[in-house]
Amino acid sequence: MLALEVSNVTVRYGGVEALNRVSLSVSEGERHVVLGPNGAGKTTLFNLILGEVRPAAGVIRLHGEDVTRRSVVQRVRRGLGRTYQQPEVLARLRVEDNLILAVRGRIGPRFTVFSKRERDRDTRKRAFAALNAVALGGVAERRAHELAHGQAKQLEIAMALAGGARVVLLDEPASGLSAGERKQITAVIDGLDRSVTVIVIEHDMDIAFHIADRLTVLHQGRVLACGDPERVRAAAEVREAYLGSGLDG
Amino acid sequence: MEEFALTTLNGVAMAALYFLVAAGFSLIFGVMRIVNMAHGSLFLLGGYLGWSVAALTHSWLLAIVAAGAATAALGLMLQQGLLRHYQGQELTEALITIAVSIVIADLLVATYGGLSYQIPAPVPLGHSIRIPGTALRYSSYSLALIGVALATGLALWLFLERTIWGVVLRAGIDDRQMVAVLGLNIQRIFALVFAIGAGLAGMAGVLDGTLLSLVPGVDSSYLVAALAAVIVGGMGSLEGSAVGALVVGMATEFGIGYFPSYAEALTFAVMAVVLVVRPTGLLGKAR
Amino acid sequence: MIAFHGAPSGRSLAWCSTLLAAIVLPFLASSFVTQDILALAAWSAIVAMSMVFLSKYGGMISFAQVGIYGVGSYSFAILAVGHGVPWYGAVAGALVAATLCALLFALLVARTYGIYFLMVTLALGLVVYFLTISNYGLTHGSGGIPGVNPPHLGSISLAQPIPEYFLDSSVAFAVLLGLTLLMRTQFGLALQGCRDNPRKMRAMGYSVMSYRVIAFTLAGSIAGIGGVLGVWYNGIIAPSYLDLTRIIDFLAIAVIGGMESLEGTFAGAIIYAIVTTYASSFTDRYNTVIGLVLLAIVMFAPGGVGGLVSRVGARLALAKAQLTPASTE
Repeated sequence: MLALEVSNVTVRYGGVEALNRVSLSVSEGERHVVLGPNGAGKTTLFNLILGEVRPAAGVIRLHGEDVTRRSVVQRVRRGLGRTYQQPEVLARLRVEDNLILAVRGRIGPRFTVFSKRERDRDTRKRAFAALNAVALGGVAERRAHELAHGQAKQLEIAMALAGGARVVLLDEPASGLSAGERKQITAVIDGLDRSVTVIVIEHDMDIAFHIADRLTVLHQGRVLACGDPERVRAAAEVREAYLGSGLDG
Repeated sequence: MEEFALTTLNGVAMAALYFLVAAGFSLIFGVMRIVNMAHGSLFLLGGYLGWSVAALTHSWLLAIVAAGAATAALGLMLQQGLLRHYQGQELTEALITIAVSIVIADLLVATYGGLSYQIPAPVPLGHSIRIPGTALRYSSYSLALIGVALATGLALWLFLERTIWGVVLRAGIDDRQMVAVLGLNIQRIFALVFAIGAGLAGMAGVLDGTLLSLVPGVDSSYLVAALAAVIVGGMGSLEGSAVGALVVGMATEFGIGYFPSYAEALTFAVMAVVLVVRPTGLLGKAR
Repeated sequence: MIAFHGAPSGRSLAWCSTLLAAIVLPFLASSFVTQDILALAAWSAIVAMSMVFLSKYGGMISFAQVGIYGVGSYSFAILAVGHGVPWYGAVAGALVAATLCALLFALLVARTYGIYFLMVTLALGLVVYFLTISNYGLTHGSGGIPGVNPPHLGSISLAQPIPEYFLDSSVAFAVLLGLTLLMRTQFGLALQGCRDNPRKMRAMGYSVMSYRVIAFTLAGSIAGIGGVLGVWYNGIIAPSYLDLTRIIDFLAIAVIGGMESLEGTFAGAIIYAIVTTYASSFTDRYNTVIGLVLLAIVMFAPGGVGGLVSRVGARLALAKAQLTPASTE
């Protein structure tokens, strides 16, 4: 079954077409990497899938359900999660509270003022499970703005996953990280449960080809190539437009 | 019909005044992200100074020039002496202008008391004239006021569109980082903009003191008019201020003319509709 | 949830002594001080708290709170004086009116942020002021509605300094306690998340607008409570109680106390009451004094009294930690 299906989507900003009849199909449990030079429309694609940007044409399906007209909030509650290129966290709250909110944002309760011990324990269990999955258990008490860049990126991944996300979008999880941190974040992505579908934007070719089951290459708002790593690597036009031109830094 | 036409003319005259106040307010906000809460006080200060100069010299022209120059200088001092040190701290800047506005307002009460002052109109504009093609007579001063606002708008437009300073300013409104990158002296531009905005407010004070009258309290009524014009028209754009001022001016005059007891409700309603339909204002850029 | 330690901490000690002082003080002070400083400060702090609450937990600097407070005052006066509604009915009506007004404003401003939010709320607050001036039928124009009396409870008149003080201060304390506890709940945590990063909260499944609307409406109800107590204290409500100067008065209380400290509003309100009371006895220019005090605080102590206290507290805690050898790390 397809976890995510984007068909023939067009996004316009003013007169400019940021995405032009883009299609993307990702099966359940797949690791799918989106490649492309700056300005290719990768982040716009993520904004579109999450619902922050509305398409001028096309359809988006999440686990078979048409969510094109659904709001961000509705999509997130249907199991979608994402991270941002520059880590977005709840800066003044503790790491633990960031995760508690992430869990409850997806499965609730969201407005309650009465705490029930049973429910609170369950929330905390889920929050710490997500926290330990990215090896941040030691900094649970810190405020999120005190974290190092790499830790903040890991926290964001944990938040995207928390509460049982089924499809997560990771926007350049390794950007701005040291070699050691890159290894760590790759290990985190490798370690994610196979029931979760993962779509990653990544510039680092080693990481991209290491994690990818399949890849999509975007160029100037269009899909240039799509398929398994060998096929994408072999595609002559990709070579020309992207891999060979030294834009992969 | 005649009442409707007169109300419309009054609305345009009011809009002319609102525009002069709102344009400076909006320019300062657009360029520096400062909500200048002292804008109303600078307006009232300009009006009172103009009255004093007019009383001394019997020259209306001298009054408006002196008021504009004095408030521009005060604005410059406010920007250079206080605000410059807190750039980017939006709340702090707003609070500083609030504190300054209390002090100015209080010192004006101390100097001029609670009486109402009116500045005599310049001699050639002291009577009403017939509007060509109609049977309507209308104050020549109000018509001149509309002309002044149009001329000021045009001058500001030329300044923003046709001079290098204007290009930098507009770039600053759209992309504040870029101006700094260009290596232009942004501080000098900030100072200039603040002085122009404050000077416009002071001159508008004299214009208002001639059209209506000056009493404590008109400072906040013009502050709210400027706020409403900017909210309705859109932030930081000259065209936005003009459209906003026109809408708010009309709403004010039609409110007063047709249901005086709830006049401000009309301004509120206009503002509310804009906030719901286009939170960034009629001509504001969607963010 | 709450950790109990064997020895009382410095914080709880400070709280107990403040509470004790708040109970004993009115019996030691003159009735002038009890009413014109302490009671005034107590209900003023409630209005200021509605502002600080929005700023601290919601990241919203609202200048509309005084307008909403005015809706509360006017509603009580119109119902009680104009229509002879019994006081409890008028109180209920006033709170409903203030809450609905806040809800209306909230729906208008919930999509605006930062300094733009400040501007829009200022405009809304001033619109309320100008409406009360130009309206005669309902609000009686600039003369306002005089002759508002606080109720009698049995034989106790709430117009008397000591009963009034205890009413105002216990309501203020209840508001402080209620808000503090509310902010520890899931709702409070989510509101703080919306303050820190609205976009992220949306991407986490939260309807940010709902939280902002609820918080603003709640703050409006609190301002409405302040409005009822305020009109009981003043005995009159008129447009001059809602003008720009008064908006700035309450803002000054919030800033003196610290925009990040709910407790600070009490300190801010007392300092403010003292300054206005005594400055007005040696100069007519007490608004200039207020302006200069505000300027000095904004420039030199941006955290206000609350900020100073927490800075000193942090310093003490640090010193204590250094003295205790058993402390890990």
